[in-house]
Amino acid sequence: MKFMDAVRAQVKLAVHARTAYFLLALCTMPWIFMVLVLDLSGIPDGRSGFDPALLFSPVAGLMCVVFGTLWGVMAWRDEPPRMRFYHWSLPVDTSQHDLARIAAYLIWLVLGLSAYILIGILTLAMHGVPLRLGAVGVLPFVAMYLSGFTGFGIGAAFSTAFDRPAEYLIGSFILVWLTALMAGIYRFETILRVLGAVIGPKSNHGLINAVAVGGVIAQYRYDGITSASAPVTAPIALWLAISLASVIAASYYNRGRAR
Amino acid sequence: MNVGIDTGVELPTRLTGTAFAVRTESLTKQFGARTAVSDVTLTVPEGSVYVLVGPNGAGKTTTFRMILGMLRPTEGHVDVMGVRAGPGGECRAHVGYVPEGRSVPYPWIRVNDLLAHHARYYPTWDAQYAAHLVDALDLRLKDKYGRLSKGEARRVELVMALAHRPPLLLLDEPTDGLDPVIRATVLSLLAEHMTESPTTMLIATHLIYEMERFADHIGVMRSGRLMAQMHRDDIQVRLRRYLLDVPDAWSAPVLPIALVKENGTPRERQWTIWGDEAHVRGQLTAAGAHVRSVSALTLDEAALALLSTKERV
Repeated sequence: MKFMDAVRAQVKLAVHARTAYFLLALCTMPWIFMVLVLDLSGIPDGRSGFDPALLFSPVAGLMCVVFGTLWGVMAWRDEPPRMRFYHWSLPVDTSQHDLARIAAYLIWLVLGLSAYILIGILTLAMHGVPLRLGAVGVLPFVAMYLSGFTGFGIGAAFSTAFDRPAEYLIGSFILVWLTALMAGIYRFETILRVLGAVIGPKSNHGLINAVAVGGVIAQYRYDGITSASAPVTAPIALWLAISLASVIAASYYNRGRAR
Repeated sequence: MNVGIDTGVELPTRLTGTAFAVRTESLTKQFGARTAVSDVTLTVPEGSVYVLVGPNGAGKTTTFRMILGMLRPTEGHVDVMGVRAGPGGECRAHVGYVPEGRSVPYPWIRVNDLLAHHARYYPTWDAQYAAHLVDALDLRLKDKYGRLSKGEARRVELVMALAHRPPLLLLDEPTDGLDPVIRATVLSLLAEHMTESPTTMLIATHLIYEMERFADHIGVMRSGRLMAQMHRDDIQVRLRRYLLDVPDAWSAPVLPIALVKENGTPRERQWTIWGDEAHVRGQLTAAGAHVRSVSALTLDEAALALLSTKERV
């Protein structure tokens, strides 16, 4: 069976699983929350209370990373490797079939992020918030998608390879946080430098920089500083490559090990 | 009771022929220190119904998973319809598989959606035949898979395995969990399927009497090893139950025939022996035993006897 046919089958399966609806609900939730909070909080001039930060600031990129990571973990809901027997029994190379599932969920992620951006634009427009899309340009929106893809790749890699992806992800996060905390307390400069280079916002290639830099540019441009620029391509490309490599490695991790 | 016959005479473990739907060569699978399957050379002739019999934990399911290419053998290899089994999907395209127990981990999916999803993977899916099977097996298409009973889930998996008319069917305890009426229906459908589609069946079961009318080859697995495999006709001809009268304090000599099973009393012994009847009779008579009667075994009795075969030390 061809890879793209398997992707199509998996796209449809996500509809039966209703996980696709979960993603769309997840992506629209921040806007619904904002509308409810601002409309129900009794702000006299509700229109002015709307903050475009969910679209035009680093928060937007971080939001997309969260969506992507959660969606990556959801890709194998009910089907950790120990329960993946049926999936692997179908006539597709087992690793490619895992990648087909991930590709199918990536398609859904594109739709989810598009919903997030479109509903965001509509919500802001309906509440009279100026959008200034001409000044902001396309780059920040592309960066939002790529931030989502990075988070998705990491989440999908964990859920493809491991039976308990959420525990591994949270455990990894806590480990990094504790390491940074201890290194800060005891002044382990080398560790701090490494963590700073890999994750920190001051590093040109750090994870935080990769997912937030588009939002920083968007914020400057939205505020009228149109000449704003930052190294965008290198950190995003690096972290996309890391997440893609993780996904491919994860799809081969359980090859020939049906339980 | 001492065994007075040379159990070193081997039961047949190789089938001869040219066209095999499944052929394993020295297949071995270890999980850590535990050997689940050891040196299994299984040959399933094309167009045959091969019943693999063995107790729970004999290694049948592990063997099936290696045949499907989902589990990498520690040693050896498998060819399915001339294609080397492995993680690539080519060999699985030729196979309809009913696994032991529930395999579909989608409790939220409706039966019709599951069948549609499954059909997308098989270009040869016959929708009309699938509808016929659904009807015959009394399945409700709108039911969610997670709410089906064990027997209903098994029926759905039978439809999934049969409806793309694969040249090879791997059925792992296909009637497990079915009530007697549906069990009879399933057996009729299998018979009908074989008539309409050229199919090879490899069936793992411990209810061999159900498969008595289909089976034309039998393999016996125990403790991960293939103890014997043979054609049904060979079983009918060469496996016999001998009722013997023996003198007091008769001590059985070591004879070059394969004792499969023995029971009875010190003076009246009942031996199930693999070998040419005239030759066995001659050997037993020469040893001082009086052969009172010789009878053929049903396939079920034969399987039970073969499973009781004493292992060589």
